[in-house]
Amino acid sequence: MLWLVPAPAAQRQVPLFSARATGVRVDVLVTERNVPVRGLMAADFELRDNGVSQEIDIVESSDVPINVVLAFDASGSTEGRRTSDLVEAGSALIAGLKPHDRIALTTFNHAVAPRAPLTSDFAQVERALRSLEPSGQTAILDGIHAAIMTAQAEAGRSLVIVCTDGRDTMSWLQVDEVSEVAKRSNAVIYGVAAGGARQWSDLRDLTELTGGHTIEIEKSSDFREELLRVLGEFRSRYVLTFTPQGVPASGFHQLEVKVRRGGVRVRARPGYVSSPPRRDPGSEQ
Amino acid sequence: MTRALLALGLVALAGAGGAAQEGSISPSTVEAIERWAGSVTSHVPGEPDPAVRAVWSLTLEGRKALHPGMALLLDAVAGKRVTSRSPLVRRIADIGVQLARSPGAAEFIKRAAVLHGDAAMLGFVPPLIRPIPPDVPPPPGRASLSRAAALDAPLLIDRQLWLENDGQVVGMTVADWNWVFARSLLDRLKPTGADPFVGQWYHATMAFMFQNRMFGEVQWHLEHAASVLPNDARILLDRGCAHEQQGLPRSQTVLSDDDMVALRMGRLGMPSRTRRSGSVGLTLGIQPVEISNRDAEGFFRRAVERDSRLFEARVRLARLLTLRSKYEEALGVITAAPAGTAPDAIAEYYAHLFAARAERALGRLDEAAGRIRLARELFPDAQSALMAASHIAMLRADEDGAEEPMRHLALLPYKRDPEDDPWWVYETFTGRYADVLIAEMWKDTGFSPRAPRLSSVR
Repeated sequence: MLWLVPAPAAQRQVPLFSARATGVRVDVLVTERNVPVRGLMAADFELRDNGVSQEIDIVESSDVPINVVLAFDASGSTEGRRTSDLVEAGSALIAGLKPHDRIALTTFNHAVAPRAPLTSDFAQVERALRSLEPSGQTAILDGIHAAIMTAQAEAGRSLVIVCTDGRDTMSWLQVDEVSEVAKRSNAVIYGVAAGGARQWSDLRDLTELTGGHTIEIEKSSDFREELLRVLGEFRSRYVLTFTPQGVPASGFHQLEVKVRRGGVRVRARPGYVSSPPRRDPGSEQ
Repeated sequence: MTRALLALGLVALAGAGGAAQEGSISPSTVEAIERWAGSVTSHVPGEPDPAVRAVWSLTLEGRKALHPGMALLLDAVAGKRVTSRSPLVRRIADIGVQLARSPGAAEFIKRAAVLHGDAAMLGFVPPLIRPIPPDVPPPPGRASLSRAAALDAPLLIDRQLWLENDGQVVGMTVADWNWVFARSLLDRLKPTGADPFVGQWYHATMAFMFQNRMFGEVQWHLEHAASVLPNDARILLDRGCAHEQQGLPRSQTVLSDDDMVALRMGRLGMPSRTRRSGSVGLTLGIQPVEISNRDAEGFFRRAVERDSRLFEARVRLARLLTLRSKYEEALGVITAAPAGTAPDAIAEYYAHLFAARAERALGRLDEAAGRIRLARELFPDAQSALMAASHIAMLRADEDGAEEPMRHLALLPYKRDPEDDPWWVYETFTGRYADVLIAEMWKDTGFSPRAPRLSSVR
């Protein structure tokens, strides 16, 4: 996994992986009785990459803009009250963003529709949100893939929030395939599941793979509260960085993150995939 | 997108089953038989003519009026002697004898099957959703009963179908009795299944059912077709398709976790009026995915064995093999297809998509990417190919290759038709030539509107 450093717009061309990896970033949530723990320092953490202890730094996460990608279910089962609750929830989340944050909206029924790219033009996303017209089947996994790719395209801390009320009925991609992509991405994925989605273990597993988790709600009016909770929880996460030492350069790396303090729960992605960069003509070596 | 699921055995017999008794033949029975026979002989295949409209107007009461005399009439058409002295019974028998002379026994039966098949197809409308009555057993996954004895009274079948939308059961609708009756008519052609028309009729009507997402109805249709034509490659393929459709996520999501546990544990709810006898069978709704796919795989294998040129059977078999991690075998099934047997671009597209998945699973990412490239050439805007391309590129650490398909996706309209992506119509794909097959079937009947009317029989 590579640390993506934003390049000035004038120089930004086709993104290429740099052979000069500078570090790995891990978003970590620490809670005690479900309340985020604040004030921890780098020395409070212990991180192992494939069992090898690593030297870590903490990035002050409150200063880092976040990229929020909303992946909303717009299938036929969300018709009526569920859609209006989703729209209101999305609107509330937008209101909770800071000026330097960015937000994108992707919807999915059988068709995945990237309706608004990552932007700080919140009004644009608001308009896109209010134009939702539910219909059709549900391609959640394809939608999550598109959301991850949207998050992946820009530097920064990325949060993908998937809101759905059902299970996948139409995606081409299978859960193991989206998992492979999630392992290679920086994005933390949260799920907010209503209706039949609450029993869908694939969504839960996928989110936990990225260090996020899935929240089950009883009624769609709870979307609003949970989206705001997710946003707040994401802002309270610690961003650990390290340059891998003593481990192979490529392949899957198992991560283990602990806090040197009892009674807390630590949530972080269980691993990442580091791939050798694809050789393209003209790329630097 | 509302679909009709397999009925959960709400097969009710409206009235007495079995052969008619003499005492049940009334003057109204004779009149109903005369009208019906006249409809059969006057119907022009493919036309919503007065004959079809007469069938459409047949309520359950009308069918009850027909029922006592129907077996008698058809037996007489087939040449069975009637010894009864009842004038009403003899009248019906005489009608049957006349029909056996003109247009001929087999012709009459075929015309009758065409009439009722046409009534079903020409009268097909999107299902009217009815709320589920409180006394009806709960939705899919629960056991139900289908009485074998019901086949003795095909006119009186009263069947319900569950309707599903986006993975949730939304209500019920009434199944069309015309299909049951039409099948029972063709069963009278002896030797069973020998007449080429029977296969042609089943091929055309199965395609119609798949095309119109009649997944509940098609299961019964196929089971019956298979009993008549057990080695027909096309029927084997379609049986596989019906089972495969049940194994797709879009069907499996209808089953709740509780239903799945009940199915697997063998705990199946039975109506209190259940009685066990030799004639009572037990049918399930949607099977667990493993069983659906296993059964589908078996039918596809048999279809390929019967006809190695059936490209679609190969492609579908390959998909199921990849689900079982039989990747090399999946690729072999596709590559062994005789040259030039891919019937159309959609079938080729599926072949590339499924082959790409197998290649990817075997770690051959370059080959997988090549297959996806071919798929995208066939359908550049298909979401499935765009997703596959992006996914493969991510695995190859090709960042731009992963993002490009998503940029392409972002340029497409938000509202997209099911036909925009072949993957979205996978469950109906096998019915895509329904219109052609039906038109050919109608044309090949050779039925003339100048066939003698029943008025000359009186």
